Amino acid sequence: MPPANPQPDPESFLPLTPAMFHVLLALADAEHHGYAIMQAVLESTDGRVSMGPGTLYGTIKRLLEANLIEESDSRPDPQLDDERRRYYRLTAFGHRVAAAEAQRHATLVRVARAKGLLAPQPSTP
Amino acid sequence: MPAHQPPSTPPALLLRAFRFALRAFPPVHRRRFATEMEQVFRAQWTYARRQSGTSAALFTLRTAIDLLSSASREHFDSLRTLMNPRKPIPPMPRFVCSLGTAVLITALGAMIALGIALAIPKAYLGECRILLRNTEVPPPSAAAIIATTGVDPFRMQTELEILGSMELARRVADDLKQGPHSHLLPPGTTPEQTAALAADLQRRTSFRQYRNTPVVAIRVQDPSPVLASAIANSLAEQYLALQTERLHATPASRPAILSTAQPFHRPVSPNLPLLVAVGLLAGTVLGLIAMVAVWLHLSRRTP
Repeated sequence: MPPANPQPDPESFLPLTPAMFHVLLALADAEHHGYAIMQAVLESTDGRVSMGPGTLYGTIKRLLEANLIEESDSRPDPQLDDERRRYYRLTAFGHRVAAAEAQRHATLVRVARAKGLLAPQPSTP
Repeated sequence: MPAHQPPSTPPALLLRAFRFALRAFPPVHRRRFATEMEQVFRAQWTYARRQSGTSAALFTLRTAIDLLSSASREHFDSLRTLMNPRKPIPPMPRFVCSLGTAVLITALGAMIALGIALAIPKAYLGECRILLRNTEVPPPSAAAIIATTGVDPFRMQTELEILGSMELARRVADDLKQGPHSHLLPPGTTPEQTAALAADLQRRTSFRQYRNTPVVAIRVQDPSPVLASAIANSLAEQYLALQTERLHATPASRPAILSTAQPFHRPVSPNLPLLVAVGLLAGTVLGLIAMVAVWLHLSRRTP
């Protein structure tokens, strides 16, 4: 009997939009609420990518629908936090999709290096 | 004295505007994310305000653009993901959405044209008609034309030049300054101011000769319908007076006023129907392009 609702191939989601990938990267190592995701994106891009609330929650909605992220029930510190805030985290499938997208970028970077568009990677001792 | 502290939350009016803008999103999206979006907006605005007032203003502008673009995208996406996010929406809803976009853009084009039409200052037309008479002996070369049409073209040309002359415009300016509509004219009675008024009257006046007749229409455009007709009537009267003085014309050979100008309260400029028609046409063309674009966008399979 075939498994019910089989998970799609992560590759079928690629390429992700930049906004989606940024949000997945922000959630790759921690759970965050919306504003913290924005801050994480700002920090990781040295302030070059600033998402407005409309773009952020549109992206979150699409990621939730695609089962790449999910809401988290846990609160880092319920005393200090606004209880109306929702926290998000990567699903296992989201993790696979993010990894596949990162791999796709890594391949592109390798090609760019080979073509002399990027400086060669410093060799590790 | 404590140093001035920037506000820790956005002004109430701005928050109200933000909440109002959230209504542009589909209800499902709004119910699910409106509270969070507002929280994020509050936090971001407060952060930007701490930087400077300009940062907060720029952030507000960016947010407005972001809300507008993301709301339209959510509408498209909610339509596409009605049943299944992996499937393109069926042709009929796709067509309805594409057609709706075309209609919306067409209406937008008409509205923009209407806005432009309302922004352009209105000008009203004053028109009166005068009958010119042949009071001088025509040159032999005009004999054939006069025999055919009954009108001396050389004489007509001369009269039209007199009608458009600065001398006549000055007389009209003087006449208007002393008349009941002087309050509608620019103030000042110095020769320079009168000359400026005369030049302005000259610029706004045109003449049209009815084909093969000695009848000429004097047309004046002015922001006031009353003044437009007053100028046209004054021009006709001053022309009659000038010609009577100049030619010592007998009553039978004097030019005559056939009809006086009456205030006409429908503006001749802007041409509202024309502008709206152009807006509709441009909107239709853009709407059709957008219709194709929306159709293609909704047909796309995206996660």
